Amino acid sequence: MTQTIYEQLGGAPAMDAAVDIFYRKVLADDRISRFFDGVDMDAQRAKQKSFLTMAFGGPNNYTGQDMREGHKHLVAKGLNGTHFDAVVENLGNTLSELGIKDDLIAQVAAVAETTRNDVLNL
Amino acid sequence: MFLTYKDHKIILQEGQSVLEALLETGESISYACKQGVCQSCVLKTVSGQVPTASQVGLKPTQKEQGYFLSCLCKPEGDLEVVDCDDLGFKVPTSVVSLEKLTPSIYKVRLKIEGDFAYKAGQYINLIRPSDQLTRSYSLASVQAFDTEEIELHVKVFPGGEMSNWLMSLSEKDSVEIMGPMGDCFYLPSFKDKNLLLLGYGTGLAPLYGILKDALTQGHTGDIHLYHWGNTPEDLYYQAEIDSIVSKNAPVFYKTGLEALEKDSLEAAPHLSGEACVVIQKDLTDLKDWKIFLCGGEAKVNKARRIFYLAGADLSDIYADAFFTWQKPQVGAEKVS
Repeated sequence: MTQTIYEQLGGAPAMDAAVDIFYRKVLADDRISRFFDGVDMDAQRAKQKSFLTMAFGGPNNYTGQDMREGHKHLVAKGLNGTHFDAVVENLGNTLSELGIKDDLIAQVAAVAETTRNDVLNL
Repeated sequence: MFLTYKDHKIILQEGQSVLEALLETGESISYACKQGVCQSCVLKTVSGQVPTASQVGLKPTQKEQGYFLSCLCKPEGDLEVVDCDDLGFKVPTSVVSLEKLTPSIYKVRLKIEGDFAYKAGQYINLIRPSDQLTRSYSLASVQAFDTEEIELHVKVFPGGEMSNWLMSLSEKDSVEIMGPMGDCFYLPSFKDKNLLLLGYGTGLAPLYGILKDALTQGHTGDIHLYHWGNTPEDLYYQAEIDSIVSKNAPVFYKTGLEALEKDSLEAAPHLSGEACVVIQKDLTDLKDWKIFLCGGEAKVNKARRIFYLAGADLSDIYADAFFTWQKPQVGAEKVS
């Protein structure tokens, strides 16, 4: 049986390494860093970790409603498709750095894609 | 097994988590992932032990205060838990002294007249007995030395209700406190780590306590203290800190004025320019450092982000952000 990316990376403990790569990329990305201004970084990192867990096929309980409600205030500040794309790009780069192959990265991007309408409140 | 929360005693079912048990009784506890990752369901135990497995991902200073993830917690004995922002009871104190350190910064010493235990670097809520006016202040004292007295460094703002009231007090006047709160304090496990302490203005207060606490506990790593301000007056306690530095190696101390251009000669003997820029040049790799940041919200958040991007673990950055209370204006959003 094929492993999920979550399992391939090493499960829960690997998410710490993954989130620090991903979160740093996002904060350093001028296209999207402003959406992270003024947030509690510890809380934000925990949410990022939950998001990565979900995107990599790990156990999660996020619903579409959670993603929609959680991003509404950012949509009000101008969050749009280009920003969503930038996040997915950083996600892909994170996985590359962790040695995950392109075809699997595409699978993760597809999972992330399913959240687009909820995240952007479309 | 019994779980107590807000005066309710609940019997836990076999294998039930604290979160499940509380939700079942109708309590509204925040939660989201139920996997121990998002940390929405954090509570605090005030009596009883929680399994260490239910504390994964929390900072060491949060674990020390009994914080745990209620979705993961399957207790092995009776527990009494409270919300994390539960401050317990008001503790009476009386004024010992008010001393002007600079035209706008006062050292306030209060005598504790009840049970109160704290770790150097934590903060308290100060409450005016007449109308319950409440403001938060960091503790600059160390319980081992200052025993029943606590020390606060209060910046007096024009029109500041609490700071101006404090300045009007006399010896033996009553002030109530609640707490302690905050994750910014020293732990024995930090003993051989390097410490970076960065404070803006009266943000020095908790760092001064942490510095003394670390040295008393036999800290062996380097300690780098950076005190930054807008004007030379903000850089108080230089003599006290110089004295500590002269008696303890390796402790390093630099002061600076952010408002001036980098390398400006007007700043002398202090440095000039942004604290974070100076620090990144001095300390190139912050991996494994324990970092304590204290001062105005915007500066602290900016520093935290810069140090995280420079390689520090987010869980190694302990930040105490001060915010200034503003009077709500008609029609404007209330600032809290």
